[in-house]
Amino acid sequence: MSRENNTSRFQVYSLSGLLPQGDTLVLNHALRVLTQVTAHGDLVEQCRLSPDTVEMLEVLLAAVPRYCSDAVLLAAKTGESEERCAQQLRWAKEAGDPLVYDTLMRPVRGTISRLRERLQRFRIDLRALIGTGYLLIALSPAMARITQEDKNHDEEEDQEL
Amino acid sequence: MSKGRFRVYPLEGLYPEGERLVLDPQERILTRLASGHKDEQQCAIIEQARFTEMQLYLLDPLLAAYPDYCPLEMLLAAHRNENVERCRARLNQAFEAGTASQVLRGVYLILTACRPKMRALGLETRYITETGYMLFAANGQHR
Repeated sequence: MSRENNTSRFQVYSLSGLLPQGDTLVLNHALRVLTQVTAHGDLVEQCRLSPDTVEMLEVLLAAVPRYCSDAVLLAAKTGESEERCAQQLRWAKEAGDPLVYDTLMRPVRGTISRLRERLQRFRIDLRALIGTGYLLIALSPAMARITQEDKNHDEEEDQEL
Repeated sequence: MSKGRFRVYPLEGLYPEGERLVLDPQERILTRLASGHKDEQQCAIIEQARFTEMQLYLLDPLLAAYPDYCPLEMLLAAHRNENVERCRARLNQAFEAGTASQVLRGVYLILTACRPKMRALGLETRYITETGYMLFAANGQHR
């Protein structure tokens, strides 16, 4: 993963293995816009994100090609320190009741779900590693096809309206 | 020029060679793009700005008209969602009656509100008296 501050507002991610060769993802913080650009400078995809999904996306992108731990995601969501979140999650695991861990991670899962939907437009999927974290992977061709069909359907509906 | 859902405006003469403006009508975002990046870490996006739906109604014909000016009747038609011929007749009457500034008030206000964002994108919208609006390079050097 490469990351560079072009200006304070744009962050560039070249996610080898996740995007076609030469493509980059550009995150505009001020507008909360995520854009996929080819090596030739053509736009491939673009979408707006909510403030909480931007924060979540940043930590996930920073972790590529590794997974992003639940503690890091929880810290990004709650604003608490990573150490404190890691400790809370450790205690939840030690409690032996999966529901406790689940309850702690619930706010993260909600945001992750919305983010997953957005990322599928970029043919990127977000996979859960149960009790561990989340991993960004390239969307499988079958899933990409389904997503494309859904997108086409949505665009047809928009045009009809 | 259209590339999928994106509309591409080369704006030759306003931007350095290879740069262009791309409109995403769905997200209402205008992106100024460089001609491509040799280095993967280099950002191809120079600037981005988001507009309201009404602002885009007026900016779209203005961008499409470049390198020509966009006539006032076209902007008025876009603003009121009316026929261009009808707007031309309305404007002619208004100019004769001296009420054109009232008729065009909505267009003026919207394009004025767009100015800071357009300047950030390296563009300036200038009024041509009783004629229309035209795009210029923000630095004032219309090449």
